[in-house]
Amino acid sequence: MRSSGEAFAKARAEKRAAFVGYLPAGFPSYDGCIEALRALVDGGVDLIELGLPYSDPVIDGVTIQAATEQALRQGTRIADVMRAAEAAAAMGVPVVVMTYWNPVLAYGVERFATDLAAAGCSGLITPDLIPDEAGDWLEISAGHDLDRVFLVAPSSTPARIASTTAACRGWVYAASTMGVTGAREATSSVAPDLVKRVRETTQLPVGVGLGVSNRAQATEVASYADGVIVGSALVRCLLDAADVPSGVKAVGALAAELAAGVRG
Amino acid sequence: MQDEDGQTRESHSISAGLDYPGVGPEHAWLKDTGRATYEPVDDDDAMEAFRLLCRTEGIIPAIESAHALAGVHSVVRKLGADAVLLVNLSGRGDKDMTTAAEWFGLV
Repeated sequence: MRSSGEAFAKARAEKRAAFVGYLPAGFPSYDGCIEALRALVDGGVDLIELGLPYSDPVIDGVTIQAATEQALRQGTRIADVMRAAEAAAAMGVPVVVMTYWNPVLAYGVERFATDLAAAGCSGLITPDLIPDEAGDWLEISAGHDLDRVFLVAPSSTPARIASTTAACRGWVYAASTMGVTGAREATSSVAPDLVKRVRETTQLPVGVGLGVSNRAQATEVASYADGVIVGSALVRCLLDAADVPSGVKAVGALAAELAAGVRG
Repeated sequence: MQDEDGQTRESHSISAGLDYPGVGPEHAWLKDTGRATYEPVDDDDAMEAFRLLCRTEGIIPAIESAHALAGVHSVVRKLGADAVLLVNLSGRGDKDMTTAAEWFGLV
């Protein structure tokens, strides 16, 4: 298993930020997702964030909602996500799964962690789980050597940032804006301050997500964060494409652009 | 209300405020600790209770609250006619007039 820390260490050794790319499993189809992940890796992504499609996606904007709804309509199950995660993990970069907590609870936390580790994944990003309520996961993830990535936001108090980063393992996800996922014209002006506040509490790398869609924005975020997380813009490539092959090609082209962006 | 993957199932209630598939942690706790009991009430019973309160008291209950009024029947059956019952009428039904008018075939 590759740890997600490996992706950040590699980027740090090259004196740059890591490029973290998100795609949801099962979209545009099971096979189409695997092809898009391959294009992401070929384009230069450092860490894959594979989304588990969920019916109540509270942190996601319209783009990712449209994609995950399609994945669910097509019958994507947790077992399919595990299968896609295993395929992604074999592509040569670390993989973390991003999931809302209820599917993990329904599947069983221990069972989920066991399957995730067996698939070769590094851990979980859990946007709607607060460390205060993550009791089982704190212990079980440690038992399986899995990373725990919790989120902090601009509204987080210093005490909340400290308790959240103390519970994180691997890295910290900083949500740069108070809102849902989705490409934005301007990147957040409060994100640099949030990253600074996170670093006062932890040595862990900090990834910044929400809103980055192009090379210039990637370069800007890379100037102050350890990782640049891009989701909706990649998903948009697949949503807007006339067919899967052209969508996959567009994902590869954007990934190469963003990989260049984090290199300044 | 969820499937085995934890995916949300679609719900239905005539009351917008009850038409969701989840239960809050407070209610779950009250039920698990036995401090409260919960009875199902369907659209028909809730709207009959809605009509009854309008006609007898001149008070328009929220359709959410009308579910509690409908529950009075089964409580009375258990406790007997002499029991004193306190019903929490948690909201007003002016907001529900369109829904009620459609239900009773008035529009």
